[in-house]
Amino acid sequence: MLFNSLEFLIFLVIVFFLFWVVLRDRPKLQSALLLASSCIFYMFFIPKYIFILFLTIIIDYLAGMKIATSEGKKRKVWLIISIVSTCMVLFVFKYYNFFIDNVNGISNLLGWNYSIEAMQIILPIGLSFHTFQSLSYVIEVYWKKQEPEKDFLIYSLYVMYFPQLVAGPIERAANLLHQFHAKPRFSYALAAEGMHQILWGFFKKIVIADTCAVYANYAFDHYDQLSSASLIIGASAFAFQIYGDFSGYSDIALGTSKLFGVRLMRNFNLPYFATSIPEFWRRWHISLSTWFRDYVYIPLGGSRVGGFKFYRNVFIIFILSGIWHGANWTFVMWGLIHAIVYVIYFYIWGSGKKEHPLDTAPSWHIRNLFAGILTFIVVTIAWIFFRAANVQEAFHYLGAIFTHSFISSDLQKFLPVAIVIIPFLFLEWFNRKSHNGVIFSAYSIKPAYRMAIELVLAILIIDCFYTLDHEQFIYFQF
Amino acid sequence: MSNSSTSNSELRIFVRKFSRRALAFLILLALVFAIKLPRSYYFSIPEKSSFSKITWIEKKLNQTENLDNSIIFVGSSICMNGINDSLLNAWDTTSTNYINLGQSHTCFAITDVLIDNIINERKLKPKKVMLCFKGDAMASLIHTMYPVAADAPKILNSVFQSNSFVIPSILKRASWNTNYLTRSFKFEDGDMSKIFSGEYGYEPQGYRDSAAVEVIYKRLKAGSEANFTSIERETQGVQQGLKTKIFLTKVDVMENVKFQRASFANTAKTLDENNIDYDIILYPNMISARMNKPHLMADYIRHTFKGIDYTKHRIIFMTDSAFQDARLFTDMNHLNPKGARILTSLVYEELKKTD
Repeated sequence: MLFNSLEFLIFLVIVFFLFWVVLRDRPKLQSALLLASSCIFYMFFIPKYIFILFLTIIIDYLAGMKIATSEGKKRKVWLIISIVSTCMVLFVFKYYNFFIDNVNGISNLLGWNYSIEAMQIILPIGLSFHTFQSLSYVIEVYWKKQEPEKDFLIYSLYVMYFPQLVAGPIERAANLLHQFHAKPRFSYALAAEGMHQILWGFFKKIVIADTCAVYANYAFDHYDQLSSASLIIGASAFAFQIYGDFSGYSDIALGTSKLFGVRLMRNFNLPYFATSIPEFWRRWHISLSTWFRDYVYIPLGGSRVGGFKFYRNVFIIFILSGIWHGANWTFVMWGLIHAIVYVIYFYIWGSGKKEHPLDTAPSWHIRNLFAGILTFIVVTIAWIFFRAANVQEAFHYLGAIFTHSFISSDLQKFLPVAIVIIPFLFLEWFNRKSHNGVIFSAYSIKPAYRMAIELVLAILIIDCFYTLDHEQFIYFQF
Repeated sequence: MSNSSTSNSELRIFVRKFSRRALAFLILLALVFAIKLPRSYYFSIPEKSSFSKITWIEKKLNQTENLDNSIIFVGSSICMNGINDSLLNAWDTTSTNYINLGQSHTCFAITDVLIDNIINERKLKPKKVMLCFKGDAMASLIHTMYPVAADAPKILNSVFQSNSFVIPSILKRASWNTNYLTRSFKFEDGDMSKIFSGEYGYEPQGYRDSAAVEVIYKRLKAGSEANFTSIERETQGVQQGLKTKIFLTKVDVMENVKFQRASFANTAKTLDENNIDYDIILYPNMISARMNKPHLMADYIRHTFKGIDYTKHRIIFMTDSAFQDARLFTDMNHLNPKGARILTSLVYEELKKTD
């Protein structure tokens, strides 16, 4: 079930009604309802894949219990069993064909007549998200930072909770489990905040991302015929497409969850106002970057180890982050570009340069403007690799930017996208001080004006909802 | 005050405030939906989509002064790709003119709107209308471009004919209305390749290797056969179990079958009321041809649409075994130009029988 569908709207109204009206004051049944709803939500895609999801849930649930009750080496054995089995599912569905393609490619290169057949399988939706969420739980239990969850229903809900099941945020047990155990209490403030966040999320997805997608798709489909300026705008359109798409999804997820009294972690914090690549990574897909930081980077020594090992660690997390997004060399290249720029940044400035703390808004300064533009250029170049069908196409696209004539008549086609992107950037800027990115929350607006703004946003959503070729949420495929 | 009662009162406030906003939104939506924009705008919407035949039909009808000597074919892509009207016009040396007004996607509702537009709004009176049916299934769901063809009152009126897709249709029409104001800011693709530009309404399909057609056939065979079997059971009046009855009700609502049937019955009624001759043609596909039960779908139509006088209006179906041959098809349903030529000649023979 897609968030941007009528089915989801109907589904949400029904679940909300059952949760707060029919099952009011019956927490166990309310949790069961959320779990059942999550199953229905998931089964709208490929129903039989729910068994795979339950298999990983059972394995990690048992592993969590066993780790907590075992001592010595046994704990590690259970951790390894859990990690290997969970990652195995991920490998089979997501990476097996990529692996086989490369093995076959190498064997052809060496002149061996050796070829393994690829599997005809469809990737279960959101597999990388709930796999990482399960892993985080098991690792936390192993580190004794988290008590094992004894209630199977609650643990299943932790992995399957429908607002964040298919595209995150990748939650932590410490943030979510206690909320599922608490007796649900309806809060007007939280629900209203949730509704605003849902509206803003839909705006980002349907008005911004889907509009930008039309321009980006055209640019990437016709890059050999377009002028440099059009290609630059096309790549920038993709930058805003992926941001609107993914952060829009996250906003809808966070807002939906608030309707049930559950707060999810913030996943985006104005990434395109970042003034450096390290800052970009503290503002973009926060739940994934902190996952890699906590479970890979820091255990490897992080920045404490210094010198070569530090650079090695940076490359490891960025390449892993690339591979996490998909089984394609384009994603590896995307990760590599970020790693290289990250390393250069630290080589020049070291860790002495003060970064914005995550909870503060970007501030206006001419130096920040130039640094922000430079960061956006680097991020957009990396997005070209992320979007291209293969590495060769990405290089051709980049090559076309530098070799084609700068301006031609095709530019006229692309200029209207500025009418979408520039006001959106201004809106983001004015919204930078808002609470958790929730629109309107930083300003006191008269109720009538607030309602008018909501209606304008709703009409803009309607404007774009059926008139654009609808794009599925990009991050569903990961 | 306990936590529970505070929570309840907050829920009430939330529902009240949310309902107020929903109401305001619905009023605004209704106003936007009700705006009547130029017909040419609506019919420009499908121009660069795979439904560009709709724009072509509109332009064709705009240029038509009368249809007194015309035999028109209406129906889905099976009609659009199966009846070669240029051949019919070449073969028939009389003054009769043949126009293929078939449009892609099986939907009686959009055909009904087209017939209503031709007869009641444009006051054109075709010599004969050929209503085209897929050989093994009824129409379901709704045509993507239904809210282009149907105006606001028609869309609202469809509620009374059990249109389960009325809300998406309203939203879509409202969306296109708002889009009218912002259309100059939208991406304008200069690629005209999707535009249907034929002089005749027939759109030839490309040829596909028959082995590839067989692969498609194998993939879709089971589902189509099950559909065919259910049609057979319904026609034979086999007592359905409770589970099947519930399932069929679900299909009626979720897949909009009831509205599609009502639309077809309405088309027949409009034609009868205006004394316009019509026949029903069952177009062969590989499933119906290979199941070799040519009477079945005809029996089903007689069983389902009891308001039609079948002594006046024929149900034409194909018994030619040639349609079992994958070499005549582009996929399981659509004929390639060779198949279309055979079908067109068979239809021509049938039409000549009534001359």
